[in-house]
Amino acid sequence: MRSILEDLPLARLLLLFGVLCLITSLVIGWLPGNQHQREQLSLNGGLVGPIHIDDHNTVLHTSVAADLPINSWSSVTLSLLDQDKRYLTGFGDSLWFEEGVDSEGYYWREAYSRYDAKITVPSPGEYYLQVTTEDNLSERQRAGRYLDVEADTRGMSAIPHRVGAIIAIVLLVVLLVLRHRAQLQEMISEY
Amino acid sequence: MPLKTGVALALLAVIYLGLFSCSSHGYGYAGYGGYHNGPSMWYFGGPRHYYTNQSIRNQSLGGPGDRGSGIHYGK
Repeated sequence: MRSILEDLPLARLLLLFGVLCLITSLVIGWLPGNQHQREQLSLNGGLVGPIHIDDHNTVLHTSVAADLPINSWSSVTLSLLDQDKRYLTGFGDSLWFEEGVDSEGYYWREAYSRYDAKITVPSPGEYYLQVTTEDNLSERQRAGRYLDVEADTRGMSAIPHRVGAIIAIVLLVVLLVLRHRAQLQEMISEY
Repeated sequence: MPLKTGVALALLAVIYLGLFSCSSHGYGYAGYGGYHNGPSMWYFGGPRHYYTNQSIRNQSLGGPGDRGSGIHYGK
């Protein structure tokens, strides 16, 4: 890498910028906030909160994990409500746990039992998460099984620096291809 | 350091610092710029469905309800 970048200071700068943006994005994504809430609900859903948001444009990270029995599914929707329990926005996904035997006779077992989501809450205040479910479970199957819902605040969004890193790497590749296209054409013609 | 390299370095430094401003405004996730906005194309992962508007069906038995939205809210 060093030899192909040697005569291209702009390429080296782009590489440095891309790596710096990527590291910054990872650090921002990892940094915890000052609020953390965890609640265990029945598979019928329920209400989580109040969640206190102190600042404008706070990133709220939520995660949902379901303890599902075999060969079952549950579509879990989270709705963000304001302090008066009015609907603001929502998101959801289907969680499932299945097993079977494939056409060659091999046993398989797969699960998608958790999802994570981040949303931006524009204004400070108290909020609730309404958890609603639809599933193929009987009341007997629901007994003793739970949904784990976590909500924690994050300081900032990791996306802008991730975008910066992606764009820098794409520009770097374009720059290198343009700079070394003669060698590339030669290599391609050899094959 | 050649002038062009210096200018490029300064430009990238300004962009890098400017990204922190977007970051602190929560850019990229659903809710950025208002609750009617879904996540940006740069947000990888996350759930498959976002419901930025409530789905309330009129004319159904019991009338329109304030029941949020989602695939299971159809009457």
